[in-house]
Amino acid sequence: MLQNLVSLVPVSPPPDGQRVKRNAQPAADGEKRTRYTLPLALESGSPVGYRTRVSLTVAEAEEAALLYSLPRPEAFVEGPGVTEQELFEEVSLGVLSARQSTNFRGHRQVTFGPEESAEIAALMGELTGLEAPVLPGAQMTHVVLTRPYRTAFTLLLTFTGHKMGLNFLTVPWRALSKRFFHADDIPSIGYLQHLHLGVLADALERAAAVASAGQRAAQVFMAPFAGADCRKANKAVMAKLHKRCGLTAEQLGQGWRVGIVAQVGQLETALPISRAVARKVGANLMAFRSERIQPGVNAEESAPEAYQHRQDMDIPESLAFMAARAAYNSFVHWTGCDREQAKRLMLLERIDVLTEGGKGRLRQIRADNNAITDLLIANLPLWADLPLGRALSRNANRGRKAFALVGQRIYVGGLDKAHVEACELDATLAVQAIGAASSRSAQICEISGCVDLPDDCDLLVGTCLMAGPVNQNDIGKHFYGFKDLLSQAHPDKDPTSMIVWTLKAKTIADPLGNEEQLLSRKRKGALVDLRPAPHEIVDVCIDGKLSPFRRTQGRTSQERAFGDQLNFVRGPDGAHIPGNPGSAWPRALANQPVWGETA
Amino acid sequence: MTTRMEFEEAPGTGAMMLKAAVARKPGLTDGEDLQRFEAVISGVEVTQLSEYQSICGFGESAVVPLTMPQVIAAPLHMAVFTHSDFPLPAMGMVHVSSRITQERAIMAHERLDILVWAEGQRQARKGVEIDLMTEVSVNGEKVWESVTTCLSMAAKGHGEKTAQDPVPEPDPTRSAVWKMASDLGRRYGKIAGDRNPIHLWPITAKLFGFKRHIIHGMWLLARAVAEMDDDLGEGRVVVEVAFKRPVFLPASATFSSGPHNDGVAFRLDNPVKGKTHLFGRISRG
Repeated sequence: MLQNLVSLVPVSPPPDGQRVKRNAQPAADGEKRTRYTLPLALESGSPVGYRTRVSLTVAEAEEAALLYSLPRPEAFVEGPGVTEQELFEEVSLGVLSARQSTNFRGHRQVTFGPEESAEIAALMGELTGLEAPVLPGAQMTHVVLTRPYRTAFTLLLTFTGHKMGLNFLTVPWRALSKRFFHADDIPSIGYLQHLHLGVLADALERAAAVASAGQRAAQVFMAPFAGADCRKANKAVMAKLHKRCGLTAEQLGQGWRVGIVAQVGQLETALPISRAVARKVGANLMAFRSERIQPGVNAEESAPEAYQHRQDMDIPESLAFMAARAAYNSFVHWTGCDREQAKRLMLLERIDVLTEGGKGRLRQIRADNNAITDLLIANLPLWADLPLGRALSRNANRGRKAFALVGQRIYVGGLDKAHVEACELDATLAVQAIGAASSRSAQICEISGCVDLPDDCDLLVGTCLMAGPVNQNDIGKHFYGFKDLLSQAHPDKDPTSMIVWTLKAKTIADPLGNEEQLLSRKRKGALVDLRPAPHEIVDVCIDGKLSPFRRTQGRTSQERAFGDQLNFVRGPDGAHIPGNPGSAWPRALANQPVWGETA
Repeated sequence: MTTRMEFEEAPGTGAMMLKAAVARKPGLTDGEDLQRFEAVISGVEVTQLSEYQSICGFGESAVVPLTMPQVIAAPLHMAVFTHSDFPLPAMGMVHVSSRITQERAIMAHERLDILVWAEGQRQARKGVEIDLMTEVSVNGEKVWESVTTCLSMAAKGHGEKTAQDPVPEPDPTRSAVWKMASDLGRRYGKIAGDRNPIHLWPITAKLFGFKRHIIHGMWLLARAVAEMDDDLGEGRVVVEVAFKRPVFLPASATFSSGPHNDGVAFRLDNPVKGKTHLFGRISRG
């Protein structure tokens, strides 16, 4: 499907006096470490690390923009073998970092070489519901495995929405349904698995292009594995794929299944992106995933001076336009519907918080979500909450802050499922496309916030993509009679909101302590994402044998992807956080083709 | 006078370790010089290559890691130190620094001729320092040599503080946290043939005055070299290292390295206390 070209829109920095950087520094001897001080060290096998954004010139931004409307490849040609390093960088941009701010490891990947790719291509040809032709000549094939979303938050949900007097029966029943039938407490929890797959699918296309500097492209398939009908029709092929991926009966019982297949191959005509720009974009994509930018003010009393001031900046209207265009591009790309239909199907509400109406709307959403949290807490079964020292109600209360909505522009995205089905679209695929659309839209803003980035600013735009407020609203909808977040903006539809993304123009990144929560085991908490190392979730199939990627003998990777761009967070004196730059994988191994010389 | 030992096969280290533990040595008296002690062996096969590569973090390859000849020569080092006429006790000898020069890569199939010797001493602050020399040749071509400097406190030192080499502070291109498990010394000792009690268990280390067991200095150096494999290049390479503080097991330590004065400097620090365990540099030519 034809996508409209997008361009990256520079955001003007504020006057010199208003520009600020994070400038975190190590805690002095005896000083208590806070979220505003640098971590002592980083011990992580993740390719991400603590990163900063890399400035792009306007010309580089124009080159990079093509990554946000990539067409599907039409054919693959023979090319040089994929090196171990190229595979590392591709998986770093894909399954190792596509999602943000979640403590759930819901994806695994098995990557097959050229010979197995040919066999998998033959298998794929038997699938029903393919959204694009299966291409011969792939150099490698990534099979992404997925499982239902289950975290501490979903554990808490087991206790919500039960009737007094019956809850001692209905709570165990729901727990058993979740455990053995993968039932969801509320529908929006079920959507998360599909939203995440959509985010990853969109990232896989960019990952192939960026890691090869435009030499390779990915043909990504989600549709045959999306809806229940498709999965039923493709059961036999999926079973063969599961076997090739080494899924055990126990893993199948946990709900693991194939979610995406991505063929990667050499293009006859390379994409017009230079290696220099590709590496800068790759380093920036790592930076985005090392940050948790809350698009609001961080003006706690204890915060350093830099966090205390408002900045006269705004998201330009042209960037908001491009963000929407990118979202529609993505929806069109993944569902195969035409652009006008996409505009009708994809339900959006844009809240401009800087306007009077926008402020009122935001206040209304916050009040509703707080009221839902109050009801949730009031209805928690005491027989479960009291023995746990009120841990359930405390955790529920924390959701108020974790799911807070802040930003200058807030987008709520969703679907009317009946309308989607009436258009003969697979509803699950449409949910996946909403995930892809929201992430592409948010990423256009993130990378636009790197264009002509002055030295004295961390960034120019902050974004946050989250499902929390939607889940909170869904609890209200499902158990307490509240209306959907999108019902006011789309009164003629029966909307289901699915995801929220918020934007703000600002020049300061959040305190590093927020990022440390993502990467430090010592800071493990409710929102921790201990980002995976390659060997933890990626297997490579060589000579028919699966082995964890980048685990050889007694060593595992501590390399940071695109580390040659040197965009590592440093102290004000230029000192590194020990361990943060990582250590390159042995070159003798990294420079070798993974599966021999040629595809 | 030279005391020379010739071996047809590598001497067993277990018996020598026991000998070292129970032997009473007179030490060096004022004005006495350490005579030359040397040990030779020819046609040594490289064994346990894969195990050594694995435990030190080298990639699997037919190339013998730069630090491995030191381990292959270790039985000869022990033979020198435990010789009945060697005046200094082997137990309590502290490995303070090393300089390794590799003329070319050694391949796994090559047979090694090894010559080890110690001769003379230098006064240090707390005792005397001895240079234990090792030369490895293949078919008459010298391919590798090392100078291992050990401190013995069984002789009188000069007691004066001397200027220390500054710890290099390169802008790191590599920085990684190493985790070292409690059993690392036992596992490495089994492969390297060095079962010195200070590396095995907390209780055996306590017998020799350590609060806990410590990892072998040569494991630390090997792990560092494995980390920097692409800085080594091909051809002649020189690695120098100074061991400053032991690493008590289990431990975490932060390794960093980066360009420094026409070479690559590296260091290993305690991530919490910031103290340096070792530092060194790699240079070519």
